[in-house]
Amino acid sequence: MSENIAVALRHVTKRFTTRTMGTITAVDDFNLEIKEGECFSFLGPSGCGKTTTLRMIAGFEDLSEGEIELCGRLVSSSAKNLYILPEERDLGMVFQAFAVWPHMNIFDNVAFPLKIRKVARKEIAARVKDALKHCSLDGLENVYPGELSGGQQQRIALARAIVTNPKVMLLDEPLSNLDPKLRETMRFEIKELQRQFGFTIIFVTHDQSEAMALSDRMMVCDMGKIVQIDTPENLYNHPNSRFVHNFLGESTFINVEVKDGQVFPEGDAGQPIGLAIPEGAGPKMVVATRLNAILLTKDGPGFRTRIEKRIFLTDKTEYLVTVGKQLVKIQTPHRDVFVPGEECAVEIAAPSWYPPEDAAAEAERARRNII
Amino acid sequence: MAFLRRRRGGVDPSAQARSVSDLSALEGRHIGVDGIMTGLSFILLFIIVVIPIFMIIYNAFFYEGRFDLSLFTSVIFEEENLKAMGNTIIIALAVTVFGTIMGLFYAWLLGRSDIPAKGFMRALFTIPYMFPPFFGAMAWDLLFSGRAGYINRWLMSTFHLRQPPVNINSIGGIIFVECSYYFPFVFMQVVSALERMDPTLEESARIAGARQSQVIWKITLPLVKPAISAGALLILISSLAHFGVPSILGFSKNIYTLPTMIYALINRSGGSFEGIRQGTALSILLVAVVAIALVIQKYVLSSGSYDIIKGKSMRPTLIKLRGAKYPLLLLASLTLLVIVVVPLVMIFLVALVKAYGLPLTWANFSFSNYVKVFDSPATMDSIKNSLFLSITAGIVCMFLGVMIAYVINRIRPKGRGLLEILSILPYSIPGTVLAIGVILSWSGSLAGINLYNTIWIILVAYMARYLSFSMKSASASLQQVNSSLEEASRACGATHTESLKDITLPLIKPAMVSGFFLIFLPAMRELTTSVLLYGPYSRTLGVQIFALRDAGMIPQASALASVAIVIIIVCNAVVTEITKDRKGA
Amino acid sequence: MAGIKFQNVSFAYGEKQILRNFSLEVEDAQIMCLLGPSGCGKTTLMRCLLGLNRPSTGEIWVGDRCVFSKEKRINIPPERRGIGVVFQDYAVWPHMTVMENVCYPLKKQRLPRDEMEKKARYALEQVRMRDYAPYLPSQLSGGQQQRVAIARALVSSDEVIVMDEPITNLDAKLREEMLTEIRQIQKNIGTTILYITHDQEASLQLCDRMAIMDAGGALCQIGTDEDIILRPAERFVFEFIGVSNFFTLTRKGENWCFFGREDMPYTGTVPAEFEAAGQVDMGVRPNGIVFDDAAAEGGLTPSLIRGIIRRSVFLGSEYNLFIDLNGQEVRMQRSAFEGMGGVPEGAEVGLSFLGPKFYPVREGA
Repeated sequence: MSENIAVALRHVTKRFTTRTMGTITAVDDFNLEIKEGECFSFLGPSGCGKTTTLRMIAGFEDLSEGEIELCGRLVSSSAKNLYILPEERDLGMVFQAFAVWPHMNIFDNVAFPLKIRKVARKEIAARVKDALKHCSLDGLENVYPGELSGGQQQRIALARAIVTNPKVMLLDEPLSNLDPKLRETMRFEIKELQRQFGFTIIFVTHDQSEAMALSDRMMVCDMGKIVQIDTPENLYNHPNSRFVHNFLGESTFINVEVKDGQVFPEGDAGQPIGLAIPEGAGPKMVVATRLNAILLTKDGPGFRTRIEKRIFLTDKTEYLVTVGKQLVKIQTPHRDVFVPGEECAVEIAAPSWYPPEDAAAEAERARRNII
Repeated sequence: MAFLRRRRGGVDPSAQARSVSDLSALEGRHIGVDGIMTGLSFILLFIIVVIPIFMIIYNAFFYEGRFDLSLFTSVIFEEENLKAMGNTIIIALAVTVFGTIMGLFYAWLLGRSDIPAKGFMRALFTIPYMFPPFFGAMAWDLLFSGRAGYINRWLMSTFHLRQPPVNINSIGGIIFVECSYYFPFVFMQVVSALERMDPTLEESARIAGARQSQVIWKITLPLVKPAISAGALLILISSLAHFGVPSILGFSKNIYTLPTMIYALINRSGGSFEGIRQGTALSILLVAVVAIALVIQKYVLSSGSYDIIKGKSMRPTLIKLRGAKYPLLLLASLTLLVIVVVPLVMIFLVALVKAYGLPLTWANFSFSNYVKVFDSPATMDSIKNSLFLSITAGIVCMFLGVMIAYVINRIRPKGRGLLEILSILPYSIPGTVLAIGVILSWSGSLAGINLYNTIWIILVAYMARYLSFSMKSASASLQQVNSSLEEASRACGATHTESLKDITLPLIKPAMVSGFFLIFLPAMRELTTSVLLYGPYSRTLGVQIFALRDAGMIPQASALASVAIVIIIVCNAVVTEITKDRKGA
Repeated sequence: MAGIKFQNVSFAYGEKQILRNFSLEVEDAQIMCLLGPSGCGKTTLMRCLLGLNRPSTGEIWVGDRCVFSKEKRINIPPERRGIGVVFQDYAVWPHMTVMENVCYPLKKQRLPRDEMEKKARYALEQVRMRDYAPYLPSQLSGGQQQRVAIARALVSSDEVIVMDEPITNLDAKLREEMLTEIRQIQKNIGTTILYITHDQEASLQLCDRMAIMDAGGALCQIGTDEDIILRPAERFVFEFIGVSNFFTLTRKGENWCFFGREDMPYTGTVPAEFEAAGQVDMGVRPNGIVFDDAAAEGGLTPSLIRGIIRRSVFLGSEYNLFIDLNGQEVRMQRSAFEGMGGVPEGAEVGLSFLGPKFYPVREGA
């Protein structure tokens, strides 16, 4: 994998003006470098700016500020008012709604980009065949998309995108319209195609497990701002904010009070939670932890409490225990069985510390969601 | 994993079972409300639809109880009739071609370009829907008929021409006027297809390397092709059966189409049975032509409809017209104005002129024509008749439509397919033909019932003609009302009849109201069937305008037409208001 | 208060037999979840109970009242069965306000006006919709509409309520909330609820007891959530309730072997009853497969069951590993917390199995 930069965003900003809500900065000063051959995800809740960014890279949207480079070529620049047309950017793109042309059979769909480029007929046939083979669509050349399932239609879109051998592939929630089982298979197929063709992937999704399973690095954004860019493992294990902690994976948040060098659950100074206090902790803090990073034992070390509720999930058991006045969720495999009411000890093995909730941020999110 | 395979596999039979409730089977032992409604639907459709159709076929091929083709062949090979058939086909094809091109142009302009004033242009498109084409024909006739038309005269005097430069009383004129009323069919179909289309279908073509113009030709146009053909065929069928325009523009120059020929034959014979028989034979010809068009329609529509509904809601990228923007806007809105607004204005102006032919100046204007119109008992009768007919047909059809729709969608008896066909069929039968069928059935030959020359025979014809409107409207609405709503009320303790009354009827009430107006409005301006059915005391508004004009009282005809225009505009405003209220609730 | 009893109920839709002599008893004041794959006939069963479908055989009892009996020629019409119902698509009447919707069943019961209002308000309070009484359904969200439907079911019967996938159309977060609320309401009022769903998680969260139907419409197991999760009675139940791996073990001499290979013996215990057959299907959950490698973890002997990691997928809380074991793809789930980082793809690992379940070998599985 070379270290060349495939996609670069510099100070990219996009503002929309709406009649009811005034001006909204949908994308606020994005700076980003994606390496060649990398699989990079844009992840965030709806309205975070991920789709707008992708559409700016594709050339469907102008920029309010900043510039975009693709493989070293300046393709969008607001200062120079330079916008290379989408068809001249040499991209592959797959859309959520498949966007397979229903009036063409599969061969014609996949051959379309080559025909437009006036590739020789013989070569078209060979390259389409190859692309179809890679997407496990061989033998379906003469079938029309309407006769195929969602998964197969998305494979056509993939074949159409790879047939021109683009350097950069944009995937706009390509798996959201598929059922869960198929989603998993297609994930592997996309990864496999990337391995063979070596293109760079930009993958937009709101599904965190999908992003984590696919990406080399990912960008989490929220309300038009980049929050954190890192590898999936680092993002999951070392989130830089409460937002990322909450957005990636299931977590439990415990409000705590720090008193006399000890940590107590909020509003209950009876029993301390045996946690080391990090530097710079205020008197009130939030301790966050993953549901499976709380050790639940009969009489091991940790905070003594009892099981309030047990819920069986299909692949694990979920327990609710009280810590002070708060209910804390814990997940264990089915093998470790506790009964409601049973005494137990919980030990928070890998806590993250955050300052208390920010009300202003919540209000802004609500405002943006209305639009 | 095996369980996943199981979960996905196959159709859910319980889901199928769901759609067909057993309720009717459970209560089927005694004939309930359902049974009565089913029986009534069949009987009524038999009377208003099957009998007239049967009578046409019988009278065309049987004479005094014996099979007899001589009339049929003699009528068909009459040169005059052959020519009429030729005209019909030429006009219909030309109207289809030009109307489609015009509709497409406007659809593209409004659906995909950044042309301003879209709302204004859209509003103009509704006008041809509201007014009958024969009003337009009247107006254009006033402007361009031979040496008498206002513009022709002005052109001749200004440029010292010997011959009138434009002759509207020609095949070309007929094509032009029909075109200006029928092109919105294609426009509406295509514009809505463009709006529903997933923009990523076009965007993905851009990414694939296609230029904007290539996208239009290779992606957009092929995808809206089904909408284009649907609209074009609608034009074709409407034009084939059209009576008003060719009758107004063609009679003076002896240009006939099949519908006007049928009218002429019956008119010439003074309503004698012989004339009607000849008309019957010709109607078979007309039905044959329309049937061919319908077959084509069925074939075309079933072959290529694609699923192009959008996924994410996103606005399509509009094509920037740049320099061409304002010239195109000017061209588009001027054309629309000329086609749509000028005829209406013309009718009002002429209505004010003391005598036809006087120049349109203030000095010559007066309200005397209106006074004459409101003074004439015949004219007032025609307004009353039309109101009575439209309201009665509207109300009766509204209830019949709901009943039949309920039987077809909910009770689902055996033979519901037949029921559906019977209720929709009359819509495809040209109005002229339907009128003949009604005459044949209800002028004494069946069970001695003679309604000829009464208002009732027109009512029967209207009911047959418009029943499908309210049926379709109620049917669409019923399909929206999930059967679980009715089932929930059963579980809440309501009986079948109570559920109907408390749940289903209130829910489809909006559809019933709009079904009423769908019938009331076209019935108010109806001409094609009424002109064959009216008697001395049962003239309708359309017939009266037509007759006044025919008698040379052109300013009075215009005055009455302008009254009709006002009535139509008021009614439309009322409909819009009602529908707006409903959405707000 | 009343329970529900189905006795030998059969139903055919046209040629297709959907239910065959189906019997099930729902105890009074319980939530029974009827869980099965789509198309198994659970909705048909509900419709039979409501009187919307007519069974070809059997009897249906609500409390001590027989609402359907083929033999006794009893078929009480839906409006007199006294069962509240909540449909998947809410079926809230859009032309009536929330209050009118909830009052409708009471109106049909001919209750006096003041009592009607009191009951309706109480029901709306139960579903936390009291403030919305004058609203029209179109002004409410999907979750709120479903609450109205539940309130309406509560007033139409305080004995028995049937719910058909009532939360399927809601988003994940709302689904969880609604389940908690349904549970709470049932506790408050003590109604019997028959809850029909294909969603395992929902039914595990909600039920007192659950009944599992297979695709053919037959009843596989009735039990508490604990019974179903810890003691699945049939292979179908085990497979249906979660993701599973299945291995066929063969008896070779004194040992049970994987894939019939004596060099891959199973070291755990297989119930003796399978010895006669010589073959047994072993089911293991993905998180019941663990690495067992002497070299890596200092165990006694390295496991002989060795596979190669084909793919390792990071999912945050866990890794999903796809392991090639003698040509069979095995799915393993490893907690990311315990796992302390991923395992390289292509590595060879030894495996052992926790909490396996054993079932007779199924033909063609």
